[in-house]
Amino acid sequence: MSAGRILLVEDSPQDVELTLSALSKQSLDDDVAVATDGEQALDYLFRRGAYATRTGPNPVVVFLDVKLPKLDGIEVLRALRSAEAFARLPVVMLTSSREEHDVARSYALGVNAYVVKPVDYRGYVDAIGGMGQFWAIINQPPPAGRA
Amino acid sequence: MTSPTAEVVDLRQALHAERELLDRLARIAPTIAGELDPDRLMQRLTDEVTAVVGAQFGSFFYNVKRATGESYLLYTLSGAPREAFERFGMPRNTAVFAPTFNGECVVRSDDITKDPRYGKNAPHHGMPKGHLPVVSYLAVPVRSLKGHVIGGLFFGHREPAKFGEREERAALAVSALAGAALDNAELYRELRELNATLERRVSDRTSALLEANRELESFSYTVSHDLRAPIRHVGGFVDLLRDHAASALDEKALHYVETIKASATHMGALVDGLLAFSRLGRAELAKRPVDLARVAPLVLHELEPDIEGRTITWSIGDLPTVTADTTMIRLVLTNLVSNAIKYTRKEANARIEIGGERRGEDVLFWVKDNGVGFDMAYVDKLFGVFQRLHSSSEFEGTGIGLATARRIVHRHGGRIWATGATSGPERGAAVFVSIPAEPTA
Repeated sequence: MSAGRILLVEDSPQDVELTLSALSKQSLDDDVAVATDGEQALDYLFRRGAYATRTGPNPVVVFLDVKLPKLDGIEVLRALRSAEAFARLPVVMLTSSREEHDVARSYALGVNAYVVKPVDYRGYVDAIGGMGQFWAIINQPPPAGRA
Repeated sequence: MTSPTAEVVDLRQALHAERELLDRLARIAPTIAGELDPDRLMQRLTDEVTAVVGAQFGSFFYNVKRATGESYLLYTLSGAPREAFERFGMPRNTAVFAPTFNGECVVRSDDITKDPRYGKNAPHHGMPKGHLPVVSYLAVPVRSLKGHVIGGLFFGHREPAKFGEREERAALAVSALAGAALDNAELYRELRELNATLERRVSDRTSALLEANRELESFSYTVSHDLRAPIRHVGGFVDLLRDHAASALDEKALHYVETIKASATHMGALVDGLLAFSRLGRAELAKRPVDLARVAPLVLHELEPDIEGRTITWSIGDLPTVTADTTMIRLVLTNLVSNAIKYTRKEANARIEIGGERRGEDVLFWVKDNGVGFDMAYVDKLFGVFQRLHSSSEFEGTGIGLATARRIVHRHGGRIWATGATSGPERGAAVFVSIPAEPTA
């Protein structure tokens, strides 16, 4: 896993590939770190377990799938929001399905955006590319150390 | 003034006694009419009738049916404690008791111990030792209104010749009352049991429905997530393939790619339609007055892409106001008009009518077209999920539009129906919706 400005938490290899392909149109694909379950995502961010020796800055945005093995996206979001270091880290939920319940819980936990992956690939490319550009390039992240 | 003859005095006394008896009987009726608990009812009845008859002891033996269908002989006593009878067991079908329990006749005796029927049965040959000392004896059967014997009223007195014709008539009158009262109590018990059964059933069904609903929700979640993802992948990778290898693909290969793409898109639409449909069943209704005259232009605007390039003669009537969930009722109209646009596509002079009116307690609105119509033989299939009456090559679609409309209309307590013809002057389809004008509680 390369160091990245974007942390993509996604268990489906097809989705990882499609997302990277979409981000490549913004030349952002080299800036992506991928975690394939919730536990790995938290290990990565908190620099523990396999990532105890990770150096370099934290990502400026997390693209977080809702349905994940081990810890799901909502649980990851809760863990981040309750940690001083990641309470303000921009997090975008990416999901296959629009479940009112998940949307409501995510916003209650302070998610920054909630995106349902469009079935149509053109729409998907536009959505992911747009988000990558916005969060990784246009948006000003919280000051370092206060993320 | 002459003093009345002895005969007149007797008559007066008899009349007085008769009136008193009638008064007492009249007082019994209301006290038992309101009592539906059989045990309390029988006790009051026994107390009252024992007093009326002037007996020292009165008892009422009666059959009751339990929920299991078995019969029990119960009894109430008046004028003696229960213990006075408890150890003798139930009266058996002896020569003395048989006429009463069989409903044959009244048994009245000035001294029952001298009655030829008395003392015929082993082991006691008469009253068991310790039995209340009964000399005067009166027993009348109690019948149900349906005619069968359900019990008997028994009266006793330790002195002889206490029960005359008058007492017998009183006992018979009360026995008729008792029969009716027991019938009532039985009906009431059956009703209560039926009620309890119904309540149990409702509660069982409710929990079964809740369980089914939970399963459906988890199913729809799985469908939405797990099916949507691979459909997205197929579409996505086909696009990537086309972008990556377009120059290397010949016409046939490109056709295959487009077919895969179209199929993935269609399947995506099916899954999304199904999800929207299942959400409709769960979503809360926010009912308020909705002016259909304002909704119709919004619907037409939304369907603009489908209308573009078409020549359609629109006829939009004075549309009424309904009490409904705005978003949902708009979806109904959208689906109906969208169908009308679709199925008039091959029509040179397409005509679509949107109309409505208040009809009694309901608001009726409809969408009519002169398109391909449908065979009334299949009208039942029209509103089923995934049911289509046209092939996809003829008219594209998911088969969810009318099912969705029906679900919405039903949730509003309304009805939806259609008429159609595939030929003749009536060719085309018409879908009607009827919704209560005022919100139902």
